[in-house]
Amino acid sequence: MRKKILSIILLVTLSISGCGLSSSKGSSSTGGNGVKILFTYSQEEGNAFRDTLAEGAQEYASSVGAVVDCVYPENSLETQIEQIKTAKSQGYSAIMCIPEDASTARQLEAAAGDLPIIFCNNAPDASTLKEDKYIYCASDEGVAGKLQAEFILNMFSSKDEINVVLLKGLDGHAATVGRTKTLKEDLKASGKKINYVFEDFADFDTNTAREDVNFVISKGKKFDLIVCNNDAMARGAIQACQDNNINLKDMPILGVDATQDGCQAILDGEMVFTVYQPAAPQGAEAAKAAIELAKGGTISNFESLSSDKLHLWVPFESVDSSNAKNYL
Amino acid sequence: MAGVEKTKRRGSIKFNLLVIIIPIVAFMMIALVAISYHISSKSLRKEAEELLKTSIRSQKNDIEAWMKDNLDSFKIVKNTIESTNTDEEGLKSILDGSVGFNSTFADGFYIGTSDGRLITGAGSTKSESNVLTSNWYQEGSTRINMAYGEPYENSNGQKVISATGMLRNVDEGISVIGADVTLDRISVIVNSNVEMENAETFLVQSTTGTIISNRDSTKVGTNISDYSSDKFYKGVAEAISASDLYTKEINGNMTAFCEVNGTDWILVSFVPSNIILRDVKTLGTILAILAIAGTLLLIVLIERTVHFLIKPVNTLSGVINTMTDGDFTMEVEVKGNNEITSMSEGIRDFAGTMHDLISKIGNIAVNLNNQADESNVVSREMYDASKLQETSMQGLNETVDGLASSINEIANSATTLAMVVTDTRTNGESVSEQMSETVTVANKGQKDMEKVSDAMGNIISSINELQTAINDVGVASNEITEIVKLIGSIAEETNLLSLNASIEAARAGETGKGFAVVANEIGKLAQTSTNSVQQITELVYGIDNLVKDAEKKAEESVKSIDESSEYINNAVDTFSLIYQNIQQTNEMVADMIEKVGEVDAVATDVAAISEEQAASADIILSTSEEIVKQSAKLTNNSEKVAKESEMLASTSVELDRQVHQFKI
Repeated sequence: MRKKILSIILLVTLSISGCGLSSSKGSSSTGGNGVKILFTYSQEEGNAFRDTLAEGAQEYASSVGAVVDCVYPENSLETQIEQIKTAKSQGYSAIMCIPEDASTARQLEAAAGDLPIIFCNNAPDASTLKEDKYIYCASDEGVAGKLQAEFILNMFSSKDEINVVLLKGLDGHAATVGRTKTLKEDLKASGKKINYVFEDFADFDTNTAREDVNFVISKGKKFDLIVCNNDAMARGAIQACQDNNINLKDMPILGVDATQDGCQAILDGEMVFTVYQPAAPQGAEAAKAAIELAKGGTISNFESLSSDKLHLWVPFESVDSSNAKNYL
Repeated sequence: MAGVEKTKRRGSIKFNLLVIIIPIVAFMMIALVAISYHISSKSLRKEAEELLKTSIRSQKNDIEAWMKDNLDSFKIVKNTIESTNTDEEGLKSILDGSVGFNSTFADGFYIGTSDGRLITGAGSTKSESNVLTSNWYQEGSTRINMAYGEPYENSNGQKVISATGMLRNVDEGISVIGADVTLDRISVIVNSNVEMENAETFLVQSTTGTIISNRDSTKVGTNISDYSSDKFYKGVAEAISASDLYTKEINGNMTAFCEVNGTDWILVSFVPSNIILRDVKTLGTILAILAIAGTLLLIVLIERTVHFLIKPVNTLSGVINTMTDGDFTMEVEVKGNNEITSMSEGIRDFAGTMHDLISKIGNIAVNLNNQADESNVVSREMYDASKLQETSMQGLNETVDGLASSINEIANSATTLAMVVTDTRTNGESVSEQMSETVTVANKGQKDMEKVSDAMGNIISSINELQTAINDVGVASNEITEIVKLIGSIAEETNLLSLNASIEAARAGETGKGFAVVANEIGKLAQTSTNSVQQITELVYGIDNLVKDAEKKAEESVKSIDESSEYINNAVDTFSLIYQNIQQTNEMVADMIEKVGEVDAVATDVAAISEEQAASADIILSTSEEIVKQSAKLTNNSEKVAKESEMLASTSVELDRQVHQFKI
């Protein structure tokens, strides 16, 4: 009995001192010595977001003495599941994953056995997440829509009626739903008359966006701005305007993601606003959480943790002409 | 019997155990039931909530799938139209083919053109008075991909929503292709897919508040804000407008919300809480019954178990009670292998040991009693003896005391005697001298007495002469008496004569006075003569008496002188005898003096010896007094011993009695 109590006291003392250690070292080092993390995601052609995220993760891991190894299922769900299945036998103690299909999260979790999973970029349903075990690390899509709405309302503060062309991403995609919803809500809440002259899914795709905008213009529709769910579609909108000799200075175009192209477009005066989804910090935060959970710890003290303790929200940042060059 | 009563009065271990265990068990059962009820009801609620959520999610998926399927169908048709690029005839045939193709959109596709025309398939009931201002046309003109718009009432009075989108292949103006889906149809889908029993679902457009589907068809197409008097609908409306889409309790209904992707529709599913609570209540009832039954069963089980376990203790208790009553004859049964067994063994051994011990004590008590009796007798005897001794010693003491005082007296007497003897000797010697003188005197006295005797003869003759003289006197006095008597008679006559003369003088009167005085004087002389005669008579009488007396006396004197003479003669004789005696006495005194000398010596010796004896007697006295004290003490002690031995005797009797209380 006495031994038990003693050991409990010792454990408590150790854990307290451990906490003190980690908190004193702060975010720079969580002491991830020797922790191996497997990161499975499919690379996207022409979209470096995921790679940037992976780099951020690796950078953070190496700074605390941990390792993040990347594997690429190349858009194959089966490959991804296989990779996760073998992770434990290969000495990995945590998994980072951009799921091929977010709805298969349960299957991925089953494949991982008792390893914790940090999902990135593609959000699984909250019901499949679990505190300190299956976490989604990203930026809150809703915030991107809010920042766009804020910029628009600021820009058109003198107008009571705004005619909007809205280019949405893939139908049903978390980013599409989240970004659109808050954008619409906030615009509506302003009390101004918001006319969605054109609202359609351009599937995050530049060409589709270009075609759509061209079509809208060809039909003689009048609009005050083009707001897009991402920078790629914003590029399409820019191209469409250029196709129709519309002066981009008179046609504000908004995107999300603050891609190289997007930031350059802002600097070039082709776009007015984008939202930086901090890929590297997301990776770093995901890696930090993965290391902590790999050690059997908790992420409940993470500042970015949402109230439901299932999400790590890495903040979005507004990017306009004043700061675009910082994100190049 | 007493033991049993005692046991009853004290209660039993079984009772105590049951009193402790049963409330604890009952409390634990109640606590267990309460906790399990709490947990179960919580999980039941949670389960119900989950079920509701699952149900609504599944409905949502069904709706989404249904709508997506329809949209996909619509898109295929739209793509076909766009890609075939046919003329209006071809277009019409396609639209004709779509009418009745699917019951969901029975009217098929229709197209509104920017010049206000509505192209429908043959048999379509779709009509529109003003295409360009129609809701569906305006909605459709904001998108290329067909999507559902707001619900509205079409010209047939049906509540429908249109899926619309712009046709790409039209060069001039905007042509919108659409297909109508009736809300009734959606309602059927929504309501027929409710997975949870008693749950109800309706669909609301979040942007406008229009109710798209409801089990109550009169509500379909109306605005949720029209039902603000209904607390439930009001609550739902508030939750939707606040985008607060967490599952919550609204007006007694557990209400879940779910957004339908691709639309701004919100699926609202609710189940009355009391239905969930009914299950919880049923659970509570079952648990309560189980708890009561379980408690009763446990009580019975515990009672039986305790009874079984306690039984040996009761037996043992009976044995101990028997032993308490002093009966060590019972048998102790030793069964099993536990603490009670070892207790039984202990009791059995104890009973054996006690049996032996009490037997021994009994014997000892008897012996002790005998010994006590003996010692009592002995101490009695000793007491008597010492009492006797004390008395004897007391007597002895007194005797010695008397002896001592006697000896002292003897000593004193002897001393006095010695002194007296000494004095006596001295006196004896002077007596001897005086005796010699006495002898001489006595001798002289004898001679003197002889002279007295002679004088006495003379006296006798004198007396005789005297007696003769006296007789002469007597004769003279008688002659005087005769003369006196004659004078007296003359005086008497004279007196009578004076008396007569006085009477005669009185008769003569004045002349007689001088005579009267002579008569009186003669009377007086006569009186005086009478008196003198009286006095002489008396004197003569006196002398006569005196003579007679003297005569008598003379005779007596003669007599006495005679006697004296005799006496003197006797005295002479006596004197001679005295002389002889004194002579003898003188000799005896001498002899005595000699003897007294011897007595003196002896008395002196006796005084010394008796003084010594007195001292010894004192010592003896003190010693005997000490002995008396000691023997008194001895008496007391022996009395005490006697008493104690009596007590011992009674104690040993008591002991014996006590020992005999045990049955061995």
